[in-house]
Amino acid sequence: MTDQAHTGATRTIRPQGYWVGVARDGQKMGFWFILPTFLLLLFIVIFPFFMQLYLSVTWWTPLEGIPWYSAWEVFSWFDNYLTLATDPRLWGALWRTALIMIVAVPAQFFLGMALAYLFIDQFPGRKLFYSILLTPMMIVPAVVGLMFFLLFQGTGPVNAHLGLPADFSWLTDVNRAMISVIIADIWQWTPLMFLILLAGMLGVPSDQLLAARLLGGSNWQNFVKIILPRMKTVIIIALVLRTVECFKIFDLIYIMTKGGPGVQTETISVFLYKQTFGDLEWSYVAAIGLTILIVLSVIAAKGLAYMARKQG
Amino acid sequence: MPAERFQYNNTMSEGRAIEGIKALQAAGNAPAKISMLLTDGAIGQITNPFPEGAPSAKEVWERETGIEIDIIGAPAEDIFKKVMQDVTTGGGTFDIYTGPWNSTGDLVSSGGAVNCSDFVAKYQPDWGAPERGTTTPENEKLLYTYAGDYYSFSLDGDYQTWFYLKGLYEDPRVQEAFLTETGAELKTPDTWEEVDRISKFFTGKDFGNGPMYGNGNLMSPFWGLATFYARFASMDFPNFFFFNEDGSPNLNSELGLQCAEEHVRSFEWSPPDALTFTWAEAYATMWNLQIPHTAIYTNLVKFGDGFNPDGTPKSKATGMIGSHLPVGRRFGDQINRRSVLYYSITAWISSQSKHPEAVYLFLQWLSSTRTYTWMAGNPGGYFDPFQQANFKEPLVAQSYQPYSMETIPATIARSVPSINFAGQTALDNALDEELQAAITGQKSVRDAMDAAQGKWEKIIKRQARNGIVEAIQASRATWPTLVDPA
Repeated sequence: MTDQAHTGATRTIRPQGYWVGVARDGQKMGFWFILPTFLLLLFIVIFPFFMQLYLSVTWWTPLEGIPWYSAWEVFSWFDNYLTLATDPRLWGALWRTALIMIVAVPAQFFLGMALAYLFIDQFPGRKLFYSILLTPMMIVPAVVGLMFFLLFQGTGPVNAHLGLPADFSWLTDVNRAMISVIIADIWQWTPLMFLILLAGMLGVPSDQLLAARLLGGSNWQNFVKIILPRMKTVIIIALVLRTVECFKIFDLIYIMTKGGPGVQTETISVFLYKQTFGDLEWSYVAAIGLTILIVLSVIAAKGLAYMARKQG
Repeated sequence: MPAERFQYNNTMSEGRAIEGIKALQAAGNAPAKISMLLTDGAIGQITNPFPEGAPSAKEVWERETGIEIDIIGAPAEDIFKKVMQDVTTGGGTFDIYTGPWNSTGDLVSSGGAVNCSDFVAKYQPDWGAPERGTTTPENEKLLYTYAGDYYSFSLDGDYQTWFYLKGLYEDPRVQEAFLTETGAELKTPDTWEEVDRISKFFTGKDFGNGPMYGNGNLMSPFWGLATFYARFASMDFPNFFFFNEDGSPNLNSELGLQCAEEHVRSFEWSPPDALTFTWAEAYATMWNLQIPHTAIYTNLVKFGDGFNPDGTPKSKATGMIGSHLPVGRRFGDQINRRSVLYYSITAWISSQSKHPEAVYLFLQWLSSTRTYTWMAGNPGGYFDPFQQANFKEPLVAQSYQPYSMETIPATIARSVPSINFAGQTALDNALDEELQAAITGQKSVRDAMDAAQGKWEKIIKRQARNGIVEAIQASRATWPTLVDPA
């Protein structure tokens, strides 16, 4: 509450007497009510972070025979961070993750966009085709992995239909293994892109499209000048969603190739899994995890700042 | 009567275990329940009544002692992850862990397993009994000890054993074609050189069952290491160790490189999808008559030779399979035939168990030669025979075929341990990735083995404070010295 009538200056009118006490009591009570949740949140967020930070500056693995909180006995300063900076396998895994994102996400986007455009208008069997198109994304990724594992066997249906010999290997060939994985990812997640983009397209006001048509606009002009600009937010959401999911890709690859042959399809998630549960290098994984968290946080902060600037 | 062959009294290993439990119960030191984390595929051998009309092993134990056995299943590939989770979180969920024998070093080093040397001295299990136990004293050390102390309880016999399509080898058409092409008579191989010659011959040939691939050995990530280790062990006389006495690896030594070259070359004769095979797909290639021979787990014949209860053959290979001794290399007038122990379900007592002595007694009872022979004959799971008594048992012979009853123990006596030191998974993974890189042409054999050597050196340096060098030295005593005349 402010009072500018007499002095011209802003003055805050504060509650007085009895009401001050009530407000104070209310604040205190509120504080006590939220304290358990606040502490729980603090524990959930802060504790793992500091645990990770602590482990990352040690050489601790479960094989040390000491509990994690005694990891200081094998303190190693920044050795894990130095190792990760020069670990070709980690950088290779990051590069392959990026490669999948670079190829799969745009492919899913363009296919999803084309399909969504086809589905704007009504046509016979639209609902049936719509349901069929959405099926892949309903399947558990591990099952999709198994399906494509079987499809891409040398003696499997893909080679049989393409007339390729049984020794034309997909999953154990250095180059084709990655192609197989990307195909499987595109197959499974194009429907999600289609769904989001179709929702965006259907949200474009039909009167605008109609008006444009009456004024002689071609389909392409309508698409570029009216539909796309109005779908900007939806497109950003769809791309961000798929990019983040692609970064985490695991099940599909683990089932299809286990990251092989060698490490040719090893992405960052598969690499971290192998390091954690295979090599038991928990302190090294802590260092990698923390580094990724910091890098992604910086990128996200920059992105948010950029968007804020754009919005004026 | 089968039951009589499995009966015991208190002068026998099983009887001592039961007496021990009763003494603990009288003193109020026995639990009401023992929990066991066990690979899914093996549970049936403990819980399924066998043979018809008889109880299960679990029922007998519970009836004799009143202590319930609670078995929690887990997939074989994931089980050791669950073990390590329990160890590191201090969960204390299980009294008994099971997992691959190779993980013994990792578990001991993490402090997750109980040292049972005192219990062994007190209750005298018959694991190494001359007529009934392990085939050699070295084999007892290999299966039950780590760095000189007793930690593990062997519940499996994963010794890579050679099987071949006897029916095909004896086919006159095949013999003639082999003679014409190679100038030699077709017989079961004694050496790796002969294995490779046979593999090369069969690749692409069709003897009425579709095109064949000569090399049936496991070549895929993880499983293929067994093939590599077996070949590696025979590179020198009587053994070629993976490590020198000082703990330095031999991977990029002259013989190590030669072994890797041979291993990589043998992939030319493998089925097209061999790099994606687990043992299950590899079994199928023999059952479908696509390969002439393979060194693999012994239950290949348990599940693929013989007849189902309804009288149908278990596979196309029924009646065609035979078995032979492991192969090696000729050194003068001798051959060092070598195989390898790889995976093999093994039990350990959790260091978080509140009743380690009682748990020990259960495991002694379960792994002693009478109970284990009874379980090994049970077709309900993956526990394979490995004790001498197992191979004299008709029920085991019925499952694993009479032709295996001599070759499996002979293979065991000639088997070397694969890696089981602290850091084993890291060591195996490092070598595996490099071998796969060489097989798929991403790296030359030299580069791959140099890289693997470097990784192993790094891991050993890092694990030195956990006693890996001492474990390597102790492990050398578990390698066989048995050689055969050429």
